[in-house]
Amino acid sequence: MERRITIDPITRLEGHGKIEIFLNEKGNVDNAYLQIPELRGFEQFCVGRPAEEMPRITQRICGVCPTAHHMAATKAVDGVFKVDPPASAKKLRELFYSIFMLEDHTLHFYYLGGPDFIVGPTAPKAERNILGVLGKVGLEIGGKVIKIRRELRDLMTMMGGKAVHPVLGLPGGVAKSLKKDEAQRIRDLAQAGVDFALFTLQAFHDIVLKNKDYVALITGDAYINKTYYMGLVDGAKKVNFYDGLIRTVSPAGKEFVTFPVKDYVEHIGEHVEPWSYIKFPFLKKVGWKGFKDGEDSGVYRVAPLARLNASEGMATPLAQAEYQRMYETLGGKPAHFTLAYHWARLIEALYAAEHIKELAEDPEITNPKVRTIPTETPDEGIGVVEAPRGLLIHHYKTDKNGIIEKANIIVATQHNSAAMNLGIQRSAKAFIKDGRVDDGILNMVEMTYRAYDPCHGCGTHTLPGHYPLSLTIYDSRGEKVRELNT
Amino acid sequence: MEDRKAILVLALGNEYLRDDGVGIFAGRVLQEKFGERVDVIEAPESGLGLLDHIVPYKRVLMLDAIQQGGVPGAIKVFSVDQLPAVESPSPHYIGVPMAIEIARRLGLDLPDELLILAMEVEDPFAITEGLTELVARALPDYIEQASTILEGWLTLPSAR
Repeated sequence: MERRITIDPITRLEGHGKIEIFLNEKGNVDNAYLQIPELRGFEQFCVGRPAEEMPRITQRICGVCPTAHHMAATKAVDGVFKVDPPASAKKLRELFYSIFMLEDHTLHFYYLGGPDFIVGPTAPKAERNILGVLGKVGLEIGGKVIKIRRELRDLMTMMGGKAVHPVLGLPGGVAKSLKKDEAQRIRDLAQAGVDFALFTLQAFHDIVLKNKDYVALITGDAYINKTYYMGLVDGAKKVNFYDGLIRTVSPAGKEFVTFPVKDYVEHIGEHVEPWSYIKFPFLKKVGWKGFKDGEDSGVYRVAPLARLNASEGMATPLAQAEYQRMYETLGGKPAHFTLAYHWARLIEALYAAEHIKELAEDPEITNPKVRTIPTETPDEGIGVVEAPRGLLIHHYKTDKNGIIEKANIIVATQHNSAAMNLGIQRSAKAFIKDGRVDDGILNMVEMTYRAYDPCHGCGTHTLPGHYPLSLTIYDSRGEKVRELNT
Repeated sequence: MEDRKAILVLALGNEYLRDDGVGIFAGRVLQEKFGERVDVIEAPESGLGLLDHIVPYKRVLMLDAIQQGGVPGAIKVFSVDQLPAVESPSPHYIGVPMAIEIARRLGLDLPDELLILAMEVEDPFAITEGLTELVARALPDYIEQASTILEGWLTLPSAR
């Protein structure tokens, strides 16, 4: 007799992700579900507050990408107050943002993406972390990573008062201009940033791409999903983290729809499932067809690989060369291999580093005029940036005094949530067979999850400070076979 | 040049995430009471970011929320070595033990003593200001216990 298993969403996910895998009688995967925590209370939190407080406040709800929230909120309040910042202010914002992206992306490789490859995907859990990486690549490199991270953070502190919760974005501009000696300091570090990004890419080439088994893993069947891709592009359709139009391409690589963020509601729908609190965004013009791949399904992806897929290239030369190299290696564009997210991330890090250099050398960067004072009556604004983990949208509606009446936010991980589910299902089906579920196999499933580096609702650092993922396997009678908690 | 003291109170938390703010609120009171004699830093970061704050000091008292299934409001003190070992491969959620271990392996100067005064909390996730009831009631006691530790350290010769 068949037993229907329902996943009960009544147990709220507090600060951790949850994967549940259901096996059939033969011990093969029937279905798999990923649940991630929802952002609880965001709108109520915003309502009643002055809109210009949002850049300062919303960055604090997230322990993972505070700068991304800060910037999306800043752009949203530009919109609320109907004000266009001077070019120098936009460049300062973009410079700060590029420093943030470089730091975040490179750190991710050494701490999250790297361990799986550098130490090996089936290595014991105790070694599959930064300590294992340090063991393999040497302490000198570990020291280098820490040092450059510190230097980038110091630059952010210089520009915004604090690295983690900067005081930077104001409606119509930024809080502080850059002095000539500060710009010089950034220029001095910029080449080191480029070198570090190149070094990290080289490490990826040497450790990952020269290893046949890893390449087979990356291009193999377990980690592939043919979805639509979405990302911000500039006027030349090149990847841009700070601003641009939202461009989507189909699984076949054709431009599907490109739109300004103010039209996002027309293009992005939200699908509800009974087993999850979070809603699943999808492309309205394709429609929700279930958790499926393909041209006919409205599921799309965001974040590094998706951004590269959705663009026509990188805006800086070294990154562009690496972009071409990646697509040549992977057999063309778009690349559907989920693990290639790690590669794309490093190409983006290189672009960020080159862009820092460009912006720091721009004479406009030390222009003292960094603010256009708003004069219009506020009402509504929508801001978008590319967070490290993907597209981030902040949307505020205010009364005529600029007090928030409604607020909405779509975080990067939400955009990817349907695709993550697809990915988990696929890798679970590929690796879990005949009821075999050891640690190594479960890690292979988790690797899908880690490629996306999902935001974890609200980054909490409650001790001991790590973000757990629970993975539970049920047999065909609904009995728990195995439970793993990271 | 800053006049850095020998003792640091590192208040971890996020005041906009309900009970996750407990360390921050305690830190602010301690700033008033001890600010002339110790440094107090509020930090929303986890893991690696904490090393930036910790490394220059001789003695560090970390304040933070925990969820270990205990009664909200319960207060525990332990040294960093007593924290559960963390193996999570996450860059931002490198736990404190991992961050300390990285520092050790890289030969960074670590404090002579690193204590954590943690309070068990009910809800550190909702985006809301204000502590839940049991946590709010335990806050004065939390501050008292932190004060006792600091007073003790301040009597040591190395504190000057």
